[in-house]
Amino acid sequence: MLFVVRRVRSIISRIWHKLERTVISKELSYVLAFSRSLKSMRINDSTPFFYPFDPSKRRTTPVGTTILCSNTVDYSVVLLSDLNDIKRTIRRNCKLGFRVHSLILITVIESFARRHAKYFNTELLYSEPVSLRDAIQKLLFYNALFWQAGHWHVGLGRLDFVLNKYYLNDLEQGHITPDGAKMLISEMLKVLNKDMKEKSGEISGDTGQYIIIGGIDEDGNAVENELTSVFLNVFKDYDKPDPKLILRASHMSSDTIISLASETILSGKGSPLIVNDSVVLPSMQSFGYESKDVYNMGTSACWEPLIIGKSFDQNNSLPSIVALKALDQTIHFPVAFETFDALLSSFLDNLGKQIKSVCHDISFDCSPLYSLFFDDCIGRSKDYSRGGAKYSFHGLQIVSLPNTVNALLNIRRFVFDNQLFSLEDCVSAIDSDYSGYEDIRQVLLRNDLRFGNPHSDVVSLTRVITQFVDDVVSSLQINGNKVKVGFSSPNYINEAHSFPASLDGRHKGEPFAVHISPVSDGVDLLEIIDFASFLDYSNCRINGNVVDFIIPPAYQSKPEALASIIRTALDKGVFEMQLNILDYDTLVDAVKHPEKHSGLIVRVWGFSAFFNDLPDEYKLVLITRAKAYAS
Amino acid sequence: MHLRVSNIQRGCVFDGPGVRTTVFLKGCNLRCPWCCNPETQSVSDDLFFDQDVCDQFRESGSRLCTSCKIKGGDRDLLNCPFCAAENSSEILLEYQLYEKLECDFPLFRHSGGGVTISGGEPLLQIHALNPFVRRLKKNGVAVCIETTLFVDTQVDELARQTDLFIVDLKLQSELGLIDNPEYYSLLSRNLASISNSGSRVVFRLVYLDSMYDCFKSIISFLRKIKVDSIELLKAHGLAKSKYTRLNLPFIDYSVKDSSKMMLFISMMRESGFAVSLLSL
Repeated sequence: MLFVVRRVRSIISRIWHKLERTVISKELSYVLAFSRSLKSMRINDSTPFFYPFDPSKRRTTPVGTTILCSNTVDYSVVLLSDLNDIKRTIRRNCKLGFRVHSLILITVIESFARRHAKYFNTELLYSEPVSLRDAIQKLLFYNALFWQAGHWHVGLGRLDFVLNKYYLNDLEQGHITPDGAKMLISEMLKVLNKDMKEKSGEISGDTGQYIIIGGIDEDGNAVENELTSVFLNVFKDYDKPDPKLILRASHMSSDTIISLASETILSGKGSPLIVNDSVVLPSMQSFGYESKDVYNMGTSACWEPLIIGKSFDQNNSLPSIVALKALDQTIHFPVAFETFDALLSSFLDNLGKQIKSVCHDISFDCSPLYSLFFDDCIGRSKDYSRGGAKYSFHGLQIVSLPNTVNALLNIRRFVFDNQLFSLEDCVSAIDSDYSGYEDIRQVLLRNDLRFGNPHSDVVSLTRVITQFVDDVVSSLQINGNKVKVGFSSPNYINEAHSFPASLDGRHKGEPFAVHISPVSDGVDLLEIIDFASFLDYSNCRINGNVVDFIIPPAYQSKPEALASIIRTALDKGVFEMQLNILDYDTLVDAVKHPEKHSGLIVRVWGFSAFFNDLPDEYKLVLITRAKAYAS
Repeated sequence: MHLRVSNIQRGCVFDGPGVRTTVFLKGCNLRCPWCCNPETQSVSDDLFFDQDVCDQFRESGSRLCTSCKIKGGDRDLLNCPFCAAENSSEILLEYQLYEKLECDFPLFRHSGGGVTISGGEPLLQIHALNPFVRRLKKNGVAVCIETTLFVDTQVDELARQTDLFIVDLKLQSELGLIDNPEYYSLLSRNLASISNSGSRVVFRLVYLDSMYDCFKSIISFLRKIKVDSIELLKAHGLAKSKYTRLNLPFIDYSVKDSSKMMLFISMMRESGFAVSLLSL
């Protein structure tokens, strides 16, 4: 009899799953899978806040759809949310399909919360918190659910802006002190960090858990409050690589905050990344975000701008475009180029084709859960990823731009201007990975005109390329919407693995340059800042453009000097900046004796990680850069 | 007027207040054997020449070397595609030098920094330096001069325009200046001119191992010129490759006995001198 019951259950389950896949909407299927996930998860009650995330039971993205990544809900909306209100609005205004799965989802959340009422005050689902502690708890509750629902790189947004009123309220009531706030923030970070490995992408630390501080409010006033300083101070002493901090800064930022940011950077945790509001916000507006929304700029997992609470922007879902590939195709073309301009024109043509080949529509996972909180899903009765979100501007990324610019500068100087060797010689050199052509390679490496040098020849060539890219991308769409492009990419190692040698002197398989940074020594921090400030970030060119540099040892004992440099970089007009503290000897020793450096944190493409957790090739890139920049 | 410039280094934080651009002028009347900028010593055109780079490709038979003068061709060394040779200085008109520095004026404002003129011995080019400094000051740029003051010239005009002098005291026994009346005379006279102008002065001393044994004569000299505060710089041997490329003999003067250096500092402090050790 028992056997029969089990058999019947198994058959019903198979039929149900088949129905889910074929008949039931994707959104309802999501809700049912999410519900199963919540029912089967194990609760960890050892954390200072209730954080219902069990990575082993999280909902998996259906086959054939792309994971929703790098999204940031507006936690001020989450904190104000009342599930009863949301239910009423949905019942009153939404179409049937959306109504059904959304109401079931809310019931699932409510049931889950009630089941764990001993850890979580369920009243928070229906009211705005009063205290800072409750605000953090409500934020973490929903944050955990976003992860549990199978979304990745779940950002935290502007927490000094969002949490300040609760902190002030507590202060007024005498319920908290600044040290108490620091402790709560530290505990929040610990909870978020708890599952760092399980939340990480390819490399441990790459969780997308960023916290933004600074920026402006709806009225254009600088956001700088006590919590801004608290976050910076907490991160100065924080001994984990994740979450990470981003500072939105501009000429309005106070000296206090810039100095504190400088000290935090020098503590070696790789945070904060600096976003230049004065450049990024106008650029976002010129691209197409509404002026009334850009104040609430956030980023994807690393640095790609979007609007918190309104963006479904998927800023790095497609493969990066390898600019060197277009050049490789050009120089292998069996036609002689009479002039450098002819070669450049052919390169750009190939680059355009490459960009168009990478750019295509994407079938994304849905998210009824995000749809409860993102504008304008409920209003439109549409899922977050199916037209519900106000903005769906997805992004492309270019990798190897510095290598490409250097290669083109070399071709111009040595092949066309000085006629030192021919293009055929160059092709032979790279086809043999410079075997037998070390002399050519050394010449290529010694061109003083190189990416990052603010010389007009370098800047103008770079601008020609980036303008062309912008022109091409402007004509493209992804899923019916405009597309952004950025010149920073996480794929400087992955895409380079199998890529042949290149005419910047790079050997086959050697990593590409990192973001907007010099390929080797010979360009210092002030030069790269000048160079980056000469580039054009208007129109589509907003999907992340990070000056990435290793701070010279001289500045490490002079935080005020670094603060001045950051201030100057903002004034001059860099887009974004991330600064690493790397000591060559320490890194080499960490490879030989990892046990002595278990706490060593380094900045990788847009996140921080324990050095010991990195794959060897990433360690080597950092060591090579540390050595080059130290010279 | 033109200036012979050896190097321009941006982002310096140990050459005066704030973040500065340091301009290294060519030419010096001393030959300190521990000098870390040997390319600035001679007033004539030196070439940096990397023999290893030259040998590497010439001996490997690279066809890129066939037209080089060394192989009997007509290509000047400075046009070597491997950059085996490079000039150690360039001549710049005063306004040309100014234009090269303008990009950092915003940084100077933010950091309280400015331009430091070092060398070599900048006072050897004082006639070209005066109008250059005048231009800087007219545009609100703070100026610091790093000098030994061991030059027989009128510094009054320069001193009136200079915010800070970093005086590199040459009290090392290797030079023999500590007992040289001319050194004391020129130093005192120039210090007096600077004092009359109101410029600030900071005194620096490069510490060598030999100085420990000359402690008494050093403090005696300092008292004679009424100096009670110095910045100490530990000598290093990081310039070795420069010496090699200039075909100059290199002697490693880097400090071998750091504990004696710390003892030297303690003794100075106990003798009433304020000493700060600069770590570069």
